[in-house]
Amino acid sequence: MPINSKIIDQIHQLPISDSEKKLMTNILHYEEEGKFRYKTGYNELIQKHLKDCDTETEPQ
Amino acid sequence: MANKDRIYVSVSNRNISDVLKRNKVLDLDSFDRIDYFLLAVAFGLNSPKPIQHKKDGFIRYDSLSVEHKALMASTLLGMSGAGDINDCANLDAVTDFCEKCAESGFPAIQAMFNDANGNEEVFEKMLLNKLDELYRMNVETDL
Amino acid sequence: MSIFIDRISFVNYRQYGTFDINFSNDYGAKLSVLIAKNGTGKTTLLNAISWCLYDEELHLSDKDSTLSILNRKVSQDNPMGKFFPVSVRICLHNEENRVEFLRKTDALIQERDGVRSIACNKSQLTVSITPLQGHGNSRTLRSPDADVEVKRFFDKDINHFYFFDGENLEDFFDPENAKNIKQSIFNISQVTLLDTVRNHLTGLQKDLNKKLAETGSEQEKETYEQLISTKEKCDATEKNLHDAKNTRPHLAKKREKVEKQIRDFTPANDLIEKQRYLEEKLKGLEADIKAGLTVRRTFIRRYFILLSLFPRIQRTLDDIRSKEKNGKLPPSIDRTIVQKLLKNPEEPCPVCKRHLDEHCRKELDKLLSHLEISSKTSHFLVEIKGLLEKFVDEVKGYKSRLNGFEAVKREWDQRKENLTKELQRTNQKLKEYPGANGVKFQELQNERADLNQKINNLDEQIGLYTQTLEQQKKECEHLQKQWNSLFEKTKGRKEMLDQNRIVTQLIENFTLIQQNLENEIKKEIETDTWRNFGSLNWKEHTFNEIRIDENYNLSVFNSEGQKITGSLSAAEKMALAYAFTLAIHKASGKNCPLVIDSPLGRASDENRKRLAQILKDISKEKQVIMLVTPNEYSDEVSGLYKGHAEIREMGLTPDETKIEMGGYYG
Repeated sequence: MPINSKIIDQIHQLPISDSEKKLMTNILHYEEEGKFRYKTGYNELIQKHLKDCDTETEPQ
Repeated sequence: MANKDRIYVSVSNRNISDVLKRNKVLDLDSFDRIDYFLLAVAFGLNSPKPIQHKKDGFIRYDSLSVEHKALMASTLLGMSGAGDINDCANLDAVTDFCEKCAESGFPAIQAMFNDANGNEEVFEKMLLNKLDELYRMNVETDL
Repeated sequence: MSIFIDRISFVNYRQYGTFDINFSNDYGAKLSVLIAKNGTGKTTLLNAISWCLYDEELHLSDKDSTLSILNRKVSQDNPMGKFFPVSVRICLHNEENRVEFLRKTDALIQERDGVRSIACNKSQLTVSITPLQGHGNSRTLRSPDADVEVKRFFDKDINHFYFFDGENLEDFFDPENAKNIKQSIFNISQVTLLDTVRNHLTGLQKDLNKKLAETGSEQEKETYEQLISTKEKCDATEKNLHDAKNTRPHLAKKREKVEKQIRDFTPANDLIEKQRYLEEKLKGLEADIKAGLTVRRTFIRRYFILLSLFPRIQRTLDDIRSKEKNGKLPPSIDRTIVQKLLKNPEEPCPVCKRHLDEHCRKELDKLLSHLEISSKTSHFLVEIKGLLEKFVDEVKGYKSRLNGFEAVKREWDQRKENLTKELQRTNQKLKEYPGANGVKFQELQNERADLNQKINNLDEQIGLYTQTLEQQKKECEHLQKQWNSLFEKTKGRKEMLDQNRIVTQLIENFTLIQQNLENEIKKEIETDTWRNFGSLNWKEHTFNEIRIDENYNLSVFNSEGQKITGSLSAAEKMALAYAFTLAIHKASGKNCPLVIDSPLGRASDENRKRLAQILKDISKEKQVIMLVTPNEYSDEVSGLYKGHAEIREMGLTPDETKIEMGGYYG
């Protein structure tokens, strides 16, 4: 089931980076699928986000 | 004799006065200490006795009004065979005497309250009867 | 998503037997009217729908609940020991799919103690989904997936907003239902999803903090433990506050009911007024007596002192007067000065400046014996003379003052006795007053007093919890900051710290979004309900506002700002129910049909016509199925609907065991 567009709009209006917004949306989608072991899934998403952030801030 | 600056009561009588105040006997909790000190003086007027044991400062002189001084002074000045009037009008002498009256006066109040089984209404009735008796003895015969 | 019910099919179900009702939208408006006398089966249709969807007939009366769902004719005409299928099928479609909800059970005819009875096995629900456009495969779902599908279409928690019983509007505004509405709306709009995400993130944060604390310094461990303990206290207080706030509307509603019963006691109103008047008078008198007692105690204290000391006061006063008369008071010369002179012979006289000789000393000695009173004493005695005279006057006034007290006391005692007797007589009359439904008036009053007390206690508790929660949250914030600042200084645990930071930020953001969404949804429903109500009701100036509280209880306010929900007429309540229903439908994001039993029963004349027009207007956008009695379907309504609705009559067969459909016309 799609995420309520009102929630997506709210996320987009937050004063946070695009990658943080993406993280929030990913978590919502993950939760909506109703997985049992949420901690593993959440941790993976957060770790991926942190890695992407590190990649972005790495000197070129 | 060193000058005093306050009126003293014995520690045991101080406890009695605290209990009476806590129980709001005769609404004593809403009045100053001098008021129930004078009441104790009235109760023990005819049986003064020196403070036997440890004493506590109870009322400072500078909190006494002229009316309080007048009442206290009359206890000594008005006593027959009181002695030199100048000595009797001296505040220290007056308070010494009143302290002795109160020393027997506080236990007398407590005894009466106990006789009334701690019942406020009964206690007040007993006091009213006592008032009538005092009026008959002290006032009617005089007038 | 627009949903349209195409057909409801019955097999051996109650008086419907084996029967189909088809619905069409051939008339522009998606309006269907089924006219049937009372007892034919209108409410049974609502029960059929709820049984199909939820395995529960939600609109049974006590009488119906004793009858089996197997059609009576089938059960009478067939031998015992045979199984018969009973089913209800609802066929509907939306833009994407054709969906069928089918609930089936088997009923066994048996005999018990010489009486025929029916036993049914557990019913089964099947949901079939067929794509309309031909894309994708058909699916058939069984429980529990079938139940999930039911929830998606017609959540049971708010079923009465789809399948509406116009006769039972009181339940509509029940706080218990409000709770369900809130939950359902939150489910539909995914507020519940946000809540779940927050809770999961909080769980994750707890784990991270625990790991950080375990690998941290003593100070960190201590701070962490304090933080956890405070958070737990906070959660407990929040729960208590939530429970208390949830309980209040129920109690308030109960009290409203009792007050209405009391108000309906018109003949007892005079007695109630008298009771209140006497209680107030008695209260005032008791306050006066209490004040009087204080004055009496002061009198006793004062006079005990004065009367005990009187002889001495009188003697002192007499002495002072006598000394005044004899010229000794005030003294012409200060005794103290003379005494001082005699004690210090080397000092010169302050008057003539000469030293005293023998003669002078003798003269001064003689003078001293006449000077009885020092200036200081004299000053004191003069000062107190006036007061002593006042004391004597006071003592003389003792008897008259005492008599005055006693007279006042006697009067008060008499008045108190009279008022108390009068109040007792009034209370006795009220106690024995016969009441509606056999409930004595006094019981109602006791119940009201009890509810008032409970509500007051609850309000106090809510205040206390709110205050405590505020303090605890501040403490939590403070400890959280302390905790954050502690481990921010720690090196070597960067990854955990980064994770923790992200999780904390996520919790904050999701909390904000959830709050905003909840507020937005509530505001939308409020606005929509008010707008709908405005178009549904006919009074232009009476109503000013509709509010929905945080528990989704509905309240209507007049132009003076007074809450008047309880005073709405039956027709106004119906209008409000419709208004709210439409707002809920909109908030659900689905255009669901409305099936309404007795939609016009509570309205009369103009109001009935108005409501009928409104339902007709609504049916332009959504399917409306109305189950009406012939009385409801008056000429005016008929005139309104002719050519715009599918209208059918339902009746029972002569043996009253089965429904048959009569005239089909539009």
